Amino acid sequence: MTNQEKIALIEETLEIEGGTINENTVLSEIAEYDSMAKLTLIVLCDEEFSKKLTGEHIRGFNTVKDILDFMG
Amino acid sequence: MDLSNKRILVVGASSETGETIVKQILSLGANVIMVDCFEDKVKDIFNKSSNPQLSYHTFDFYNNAEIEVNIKHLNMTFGAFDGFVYCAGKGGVRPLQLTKNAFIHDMMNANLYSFVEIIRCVTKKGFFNNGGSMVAISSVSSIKGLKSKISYSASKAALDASIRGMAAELSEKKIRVNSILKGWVTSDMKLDFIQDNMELNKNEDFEKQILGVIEPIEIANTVCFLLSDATKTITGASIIHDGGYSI
Amino acid sequence: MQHLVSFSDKLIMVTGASAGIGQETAILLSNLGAKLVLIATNEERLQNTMNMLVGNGHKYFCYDLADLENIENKVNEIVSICGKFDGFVNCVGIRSRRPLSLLSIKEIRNVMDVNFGSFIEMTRCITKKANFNEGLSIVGVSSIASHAGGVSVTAYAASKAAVEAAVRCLSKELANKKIRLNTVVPSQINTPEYANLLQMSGGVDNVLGRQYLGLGDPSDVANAIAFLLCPASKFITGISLPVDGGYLSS
Repeated sequence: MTNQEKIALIEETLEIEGGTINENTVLSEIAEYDSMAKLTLIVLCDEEFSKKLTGEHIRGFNTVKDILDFMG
Repeated sequence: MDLSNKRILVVGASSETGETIVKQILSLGANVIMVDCFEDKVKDIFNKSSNPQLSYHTFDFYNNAEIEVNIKHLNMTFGAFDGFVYCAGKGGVRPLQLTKNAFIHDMMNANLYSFVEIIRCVTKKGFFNNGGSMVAISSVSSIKGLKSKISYSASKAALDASIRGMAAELSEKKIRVNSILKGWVTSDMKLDFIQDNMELNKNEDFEKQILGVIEPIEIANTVCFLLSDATKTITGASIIHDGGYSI
Repeated sequence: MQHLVSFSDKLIMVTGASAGIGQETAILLSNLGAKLVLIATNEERLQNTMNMLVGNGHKYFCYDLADLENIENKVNEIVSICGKFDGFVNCVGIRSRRPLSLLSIKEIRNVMDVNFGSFIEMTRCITKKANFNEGLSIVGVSSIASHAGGVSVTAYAASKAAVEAAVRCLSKELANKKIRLNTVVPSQINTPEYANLLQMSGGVDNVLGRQYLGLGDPSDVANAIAFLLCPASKFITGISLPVDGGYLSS
């Protein structure tokens, strides 16, 4: 999956308006990035990328790129 | 509370709570047949115990097709049961947008379908004694809503509704069916998904349990109480054992 | 009801709209000014319901909600044709009477998929940002069976209890999107289904004695549903509202 596709998937799953975020977007500035969104990310990484995302990882994420890098 | 001369089937014995339940029932004098999907853990419990009244059997009870033949086998090997405890089941969190039917089904299968099928098979003529008792371990999630717990809560509520229906149907044989709505137990705290959820939700939910976290032995005691003759007129009941979580 | 609530310019989806409670609810809502989207499997009965609706602009779609895989596509199609929803009422449900000894996993699963699985999938799709308007209210139809210990209704009772529990969770989860969810919990209601059941049991209904206000009317349930859909109930969420002639409290 390309980074563009991953971003689209994140936007769709977290119900962020399409095309409004990019790699460099700071996570804390995304309104939809609340505790539910973080939980959703955990499930998404497990289902789509077979990666085990933990609360500790999430605390270390600053930008969208950090999430993309984790997804692999 | 005396369970001597009773033969109790415990399904899902390998969890910490399940193991504690097995040990407590044994200590009250019953014969216990432990069942789980994987041999390692139950074999370990069996080997460590020197109690001749403990036996074990392994089969994949989440695969419904295996249930009937294995219950028959248990009946032929051990005889009729006086009690049945279901402490198996699955937990998990998933927000609505990622809740697909496959996930719901998996949860329902583990927490409801297998339970009902085991009861259907174990209540055939001669398999379960009149006056016997059945207990399912449910959860306060059955009656209280939490974010991302749709499938889990629904499966536990479905479980509790089923015990009421089965209690009505089995009352003719004086077989009682009850459930325990447990709150947070120490063994839950170690599960991965609970850890993640707690970090994200800042333990708010946990604080509702005003008497603190529950030890597995306490749940085991409630199970034994329901298995014993002391509760021969309690049926179709969902006993809240939750440290005050739901009040 | 006309004085209390109005649904002008509101678009409401009603599933299971071809008979009984679903049909009655659709008719009532149309009388209160709503635009309806009806879903059921039987085209003839759907058209029959359509003919009883008041006002214009209503649409129906034949769809079997047991087909869980394609619900998402169907909802997207409907929204593209009809617009975003202000309300969703789920009256789809199959009955199931099986004593425990004859209760197969296949039967339990089927009942669960239709009564619960389809409700969750429909809710999941309708609550996507693009598909609803602020103030969306969702009502599921449960049953006293989910609370009372009935004989031979284990699968049905379990599926309805699942709906109620899910609504408690979803009402919390979707609160920040300003979406409310509730269920109504009817007891014995005078519908063709009930007439069938009564015939099968030789005219005997043991439940009726406990609902001391007598046999209910579909309009009793429709009224409760309409109230839960409208802004007058905006502070009510996550509840199971009995419409049961006193059954559950007696």
